[in-house]
Amino acid sequence: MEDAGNLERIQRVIAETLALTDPDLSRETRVKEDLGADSMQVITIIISLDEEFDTEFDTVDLPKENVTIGWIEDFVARTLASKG
Amino acid sequence: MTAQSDRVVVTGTGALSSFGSGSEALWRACLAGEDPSAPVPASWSTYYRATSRTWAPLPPMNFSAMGFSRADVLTMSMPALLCAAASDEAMREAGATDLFRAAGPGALRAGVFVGTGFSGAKAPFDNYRAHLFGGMKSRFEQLLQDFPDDADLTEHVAALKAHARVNPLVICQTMPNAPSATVGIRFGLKGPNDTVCYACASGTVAIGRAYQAIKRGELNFAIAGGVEHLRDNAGGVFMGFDRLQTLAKPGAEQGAENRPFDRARTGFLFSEGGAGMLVLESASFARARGAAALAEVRGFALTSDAVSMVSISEDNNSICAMWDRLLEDARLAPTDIGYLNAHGTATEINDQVESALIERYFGVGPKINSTKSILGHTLGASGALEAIVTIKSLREQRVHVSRNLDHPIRELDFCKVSAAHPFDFALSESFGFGGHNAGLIFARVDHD
Repeated sequence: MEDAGNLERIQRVIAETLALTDPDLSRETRVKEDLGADSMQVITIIISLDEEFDTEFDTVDLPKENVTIGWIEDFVARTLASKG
Repeated sequence: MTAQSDRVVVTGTGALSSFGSGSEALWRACLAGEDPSAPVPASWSTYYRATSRTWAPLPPMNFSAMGFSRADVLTMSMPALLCAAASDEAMREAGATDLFRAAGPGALRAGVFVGTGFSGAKAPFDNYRAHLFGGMKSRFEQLLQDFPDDADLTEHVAALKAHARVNPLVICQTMPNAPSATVGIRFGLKGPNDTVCYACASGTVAIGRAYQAIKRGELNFAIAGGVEHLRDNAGGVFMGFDRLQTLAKPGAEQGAENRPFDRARTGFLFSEGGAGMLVLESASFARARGAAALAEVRGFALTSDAVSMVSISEDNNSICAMWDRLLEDARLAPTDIGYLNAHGTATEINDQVESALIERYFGVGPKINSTKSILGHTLGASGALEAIVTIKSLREQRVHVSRNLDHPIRELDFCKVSAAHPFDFALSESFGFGGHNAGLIFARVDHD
């Protein structure tokens, strides 16, 4: 399901939102536990992805813990596929 | 004369208004007598038929150019953005942008006071549409597949414009205290962080509360003002005021509808909103850090009519009592007031009562104008924006024209044109739905 272009765009949004100057990000990176984001910042990332991908991602299924960049990439791919 | 240490001074102002970003842009537009009015968005007529069809929109705001990140713009409510941007300008002028960010003990003696009437009304209005109509729209769209030629159904589906999901930050965007909290977080101010709600008097009361806290010695420093943002996707707030029959009726000519204190007035020009923020500090604190004073806050008073939610009358109000207390606080007489920035909404009753009481209390003394004749009514932001205009007037010794005042309802010294005017003390007043009467007196800083 993954798209290399999507992953790069997601990583860029995360780095910008969290003001990471030298990010070392992978699919396994956990946004809260590894990057220190709080709940508000995780939601901010999702809302920033709205603009990046020109759609609206529903946060109702967003896990409270262990949100990895890989989970976000799959979540983006699933949402984009469902909207055709 | 108070001791130097007791004085409260203004050291910075910031504004976002229908004339764009900057308190100077606002002031220049007032002097030029500009008119920001325009027809309301055509899409609003999908949802209701309004009597008034004019408002004063905000121009497109480039928050990125003002230093806000994409995440800021996407997550903060418009009132919080407006308030933060106006505060940025005020703090820059005061030379205080980084003063409290190091979070030293001084930050506990620095507060934030923001007035607003509605704050983030857009967020619940628009998100409730998503909540209600998101599912309904899918069902209508399915129905439309069975009846593709049904023009009424097609029109109704098109009108059900709604976001696909409820914004996960709708609570943070709705909270009335979001603008004041945003300012406190932005600059590291750890003292009281107050949001005051006095309808159209909110901005004036917020500045007054900051002045009182500094005067009492509880704080050294405060950012204070007002903010409002009244655009929502369906024009819901506009509709509410239209139904109250308070808005300016359509006139023969665009720009002539907004006529405070004129015999032909029909109601106020609804503004999309704005923000006015001021930096207040004790004179000794400002002097110690080398900040220049723009004006002195000399007095504040607040009374309530306790009569009606929306109306005032000449014989049963607490406006004169507010002036009594205001002048007592400032240790001045009515004849000392050289300029009065009136509430001046252009509603029939407000202007009738306000002008009659001014004549009775002040005589034909002070120069009088209505900044709302230029800006329209920004509700909770209006008192703060008018305070900034009053301070600019004091500093430049000029008063701006009161627009469309062709046939004044009373023989007071109204500003028919923008002109030089020597004066030392100015009064800026606001009245709010609920019966609130608030006033501030500002003094020239070189007055002794």
